[in-house]
Amino acid sequence: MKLEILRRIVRILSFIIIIYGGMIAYYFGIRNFPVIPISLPISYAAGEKTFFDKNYGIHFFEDILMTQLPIYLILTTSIVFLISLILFGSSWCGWICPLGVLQDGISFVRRFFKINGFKLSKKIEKFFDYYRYFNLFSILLLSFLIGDYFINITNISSFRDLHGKVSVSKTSCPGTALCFVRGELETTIKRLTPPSQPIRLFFYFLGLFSLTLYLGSFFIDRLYCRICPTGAINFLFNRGSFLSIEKNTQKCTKCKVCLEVCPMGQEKIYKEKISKNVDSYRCLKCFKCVEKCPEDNALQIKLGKYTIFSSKFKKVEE
Amino acid sequence: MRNTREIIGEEKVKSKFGLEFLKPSHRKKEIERKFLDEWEKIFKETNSAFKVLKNRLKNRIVELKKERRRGKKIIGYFCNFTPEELIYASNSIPVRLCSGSFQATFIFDENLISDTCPLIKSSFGLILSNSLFYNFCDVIILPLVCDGKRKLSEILSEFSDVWILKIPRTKSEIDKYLSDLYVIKEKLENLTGNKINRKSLENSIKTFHKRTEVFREFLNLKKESPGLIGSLETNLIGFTSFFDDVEIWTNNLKKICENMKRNKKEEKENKIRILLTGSPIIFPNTKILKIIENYANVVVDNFCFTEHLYHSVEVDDWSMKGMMRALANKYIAPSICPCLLSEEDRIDRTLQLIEDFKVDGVIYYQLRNCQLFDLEYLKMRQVFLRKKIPIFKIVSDYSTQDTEQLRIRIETFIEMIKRGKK
Repeated sequence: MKLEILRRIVRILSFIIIIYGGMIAYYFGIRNFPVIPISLPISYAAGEKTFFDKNYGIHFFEDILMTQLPIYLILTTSIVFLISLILFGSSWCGWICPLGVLQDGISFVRRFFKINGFKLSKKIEKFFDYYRYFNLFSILLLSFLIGDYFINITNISSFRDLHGKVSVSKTSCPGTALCFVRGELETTIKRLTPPSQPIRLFFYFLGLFSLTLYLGSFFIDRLYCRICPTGAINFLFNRGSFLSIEKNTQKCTKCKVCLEVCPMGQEKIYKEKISKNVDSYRCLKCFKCVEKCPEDNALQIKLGKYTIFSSKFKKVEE
Repeated sequence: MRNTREIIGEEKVKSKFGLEFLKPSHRKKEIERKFLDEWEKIFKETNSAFKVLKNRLKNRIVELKKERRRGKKIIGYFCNFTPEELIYASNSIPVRLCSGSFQATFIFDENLISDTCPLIKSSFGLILSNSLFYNFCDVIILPLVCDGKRKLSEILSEFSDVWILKIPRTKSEIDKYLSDLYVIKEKLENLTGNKINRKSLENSIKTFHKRTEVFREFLNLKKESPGLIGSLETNLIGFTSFFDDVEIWTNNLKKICENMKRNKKEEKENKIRILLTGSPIIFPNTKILKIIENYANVVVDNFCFTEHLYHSVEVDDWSMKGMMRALANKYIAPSICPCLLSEEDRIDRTLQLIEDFKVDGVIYYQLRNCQLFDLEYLKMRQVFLRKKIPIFKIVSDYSTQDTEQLRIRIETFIEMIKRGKK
């Protein structure tokens, strides 16, 4: 089976389930979802109109820092989160993440009309590698400063104003675009109007910045993923996850197709010449490289010991 | 005192900048006769399925003349660094000018007795003497690859328009090559008057991709029954791709593959399997192939032009920029030419071919006076000896003087492999 088709099916299905699933469930009268232990913490169901409105990735970690969540919730979700990462690495990013799917949809429009795109230079790519973690830690730090625990300990007035009113990860999340898709025009407009408070203006621009990056994926594939804080966490588990890419360095002819195809501009697969293991930090595990590789069996997708898919020379489509 | 050459009655050719070269008109007949003789001869020795190609050389020369009269531009190029796809997309005809004719080297020697690469001498001779398909070019695209080609561009620019294509020294500088491709593209557009747009380039990339598909199929056939297709045949196929139209070439090879599949049973006896690599062996310089074929099967010939056919332009993003990027990638990234700092890419590729085709020994061919291939061998030999794969270098040029000497050396090498096997 073609990997491309499989990926499309998985993406569209997961997009529908994640974005409209809550609405569909609400429509059928299901109000309270139990915590579903699949790869991600899906909770807070139907009432919020989505499967998970609050709790994935960075939003979940922010919640831990900001509000006093019940311990069983923290434990179950983080364990599920951890297990999924150890098993599949960051394949969430490449296959399921609705933000990613929508970005790919945007760039698909470009590809369909064959409009010129860009590739980021190595220097910018490297800058984003650092910026991504700066982004993650600044979000976590800010949310901790605004959150319950810090307010309880100290009494700094400027943070007191923001306490409980702003969610850093959400304002800097380009999910505004998703709200639009979900039909919540009110939320979209609310997020796009500049606030009057000067401190909040900072957060507003933070959100605007990530939204422009997000829409920039029209020209540069997966541009927002370069700074995504959730991705930053996922990438840490990439090396050594069960689902991995293996390269036969001898079979490889260094034709650079893998790098050309890679939405994240990851050079490791192209450059690696000694080791079999080519999993790298900045990788979405979308396996586009394996799919497009024109050398038979040069790249393989492995789940533990077993080979799931291997590269093959393909004839051009008419 | 009169010059001896004047007594013979040789005229001189004046170049654009007033340089004088001896007019090689007396050589032309000899070159063409020898060339066509070899061409006829090769079909007696090769498999009957290859007869399809027999008329292609003569027909193509007529075709090229016709096309030229019709106003199509014919663009000569050297090396596998010149993007044929771009030339094809501009609705002109690419013709590769690398040559293996021994007779043509004399033309160079008459003007300057020197120890240069025979390929450069020969190509120069053929272009100056206007023989065969080498004389129709409106423009010659010359990638600045090795030092020889670098200077050849200077010499050739005396006679015809030469466009230089800068080749980076390392593979990481691929962007420079890409920006040079845009320059060539613009020049092509100005020359032919045809815009290279998205559609034409996409079309041409797909046409050339089909060429690769068929060539890979051919290689697979060779892999399955190695005795069936010899190196002469493979070399012939490589050479015909120099001048033939892509679509006709692809169809011919398809026919050959189908024929071969039908005749699969008539295999030659089990001989030692040899991998031949190194400097390109270009028709009609096939003496080494003939010698080796007497004692062993050449299962792989891994030269720059076969590699060139093996790789295809893989496009992910069909926008103009995306296609140009893919073009640049194809021509630089998988290249095994020693003029690039290829970082063991050639060794890896050869090792893989050895594994695929179950090769017993490697013969490394080096054109005399080619420094790059000479130095490349140093590393290669060490790696191969460590892996206990017999490897052997032969140095030769286009002359037939050293045939017997080479025969003895090759025979002993193959004898050694045989003994080692027992």
